[in-house]
Amino acid sequence: MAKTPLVLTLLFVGANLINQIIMLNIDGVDSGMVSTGNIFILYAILIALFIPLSYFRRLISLGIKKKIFFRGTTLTYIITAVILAIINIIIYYIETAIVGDRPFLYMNILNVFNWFQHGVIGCFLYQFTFYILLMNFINLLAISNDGLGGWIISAVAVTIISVSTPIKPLRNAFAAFLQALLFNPNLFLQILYTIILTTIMAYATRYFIRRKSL
Amino acid sequence: MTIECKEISKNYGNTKALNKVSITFEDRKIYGLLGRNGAGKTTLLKIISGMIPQYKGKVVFNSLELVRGAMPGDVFFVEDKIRHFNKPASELFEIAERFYPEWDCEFTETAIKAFDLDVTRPVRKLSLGMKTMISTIIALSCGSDAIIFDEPVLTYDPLVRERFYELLLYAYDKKPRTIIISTHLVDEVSKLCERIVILEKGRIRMDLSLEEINTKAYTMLGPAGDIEEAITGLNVINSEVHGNYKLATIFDKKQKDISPNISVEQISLQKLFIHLVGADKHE
Repeated sequence: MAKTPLVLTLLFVGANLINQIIMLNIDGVDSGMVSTGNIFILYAILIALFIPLSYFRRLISLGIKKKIFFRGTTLTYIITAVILAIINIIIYYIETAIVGDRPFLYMNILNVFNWFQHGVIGCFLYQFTFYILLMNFINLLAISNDGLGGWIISAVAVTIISVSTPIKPLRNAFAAFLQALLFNPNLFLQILYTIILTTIMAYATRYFIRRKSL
Repeated sequence: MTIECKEISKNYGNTKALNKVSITFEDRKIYGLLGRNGAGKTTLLKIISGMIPQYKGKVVFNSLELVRGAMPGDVFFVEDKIRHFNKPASELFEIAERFYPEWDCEFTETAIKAFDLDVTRPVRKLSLGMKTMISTIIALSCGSDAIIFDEPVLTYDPLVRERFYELLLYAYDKKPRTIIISTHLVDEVSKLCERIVILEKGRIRMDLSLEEINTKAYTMLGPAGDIEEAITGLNVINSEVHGNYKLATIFDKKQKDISPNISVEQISLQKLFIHLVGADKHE
């Protein structure tokens, strides 16, 4: 397990736990509490940054080939997504039991995206596909950042977000796109869309890894 | 493993790093790759290792062409600029071992002792030379069919350099393979290498066995008149006049009938290299 992303994540998790303990002991506070399970998602973001930006070169120095690196990265993201999905479900049940019917707002993406609509297995699958997509997207941006193609991808991503936010029709289209990918009422469709998008990103990542000069 | 480079060209902007380089590194031979700074040595080695995917030409390993962007599985490249995880060397060896089924544990232990390497200290606390030792040990332990060293001894003191050469030959004896060593320490590699390749301005200047070099590279010292007569038609790569005497450095077949006034001596590889790629060469 990658040490630096894990340490950083645990620091944030620790801070959130302290915050939760304080919140639970102060009644009547008009504030919210973020799920500690959600903080663990930071690990997915960090690992998808650290692996291509920091570990890639070091692994090559150990004699690991680009092909093995790509396979290893994919496997790491799958395992990470599984673990994060399980952690979030377990912590959700613990936290909801502790919070009970206290007056403050309890925030958890499992509730926000309505990922429990198809039960626990459905929640696991919603999360798994989302984490895989998230890590592959960050990994793609990071691995391609030293070439023109990477800059174009980053520029396109930024443009889509910034242009579609102020213009209503585009905003609606962008929202529909996110809904299809993140909180699609049809679990099967969400999985299908995520698999398609992840496969495209994986091919793009492999292309950029192969083109990378070391 | 036989490595064939066919018409390899590589440009960095307007600078030609390699210009239609064609060379074959034969199976189970140790090569010394020499050249001045910027001659294209590192670029050539990185292209062979699959670390530079953008180039013109072909690289062929045992008749199989290297797919552009892929890294050949049986080639280990030891760079001059090494970046390792901040872990003890013992852990790094363990990580690398998992990827190489033919890993030679016995050799790893021998090399650790020979280099007197503290395998318990994290990499950040090691000197640059020690970091290079880690890469060298991995390269020689992993069982690859070809090992490429780019300036392997740059960070070593003379004692460690000697140990490196001994270990390299020991590893080669255990498992003969293709080894390419790029270095500026010309005379030191001449003790190891079977063939010497000199790159100059992105082109192959020389590709000969040490035996051929020893028979072709020599100096003639004697009276200027006798020397002038003796060197007629020969490839003279350097000449110096000292009073009535002349010293000519030849890179050509040895003459049989030489005047008894002329003394003939073999020259070191370093001298040959300097005269071949030096600024004041005469051909």
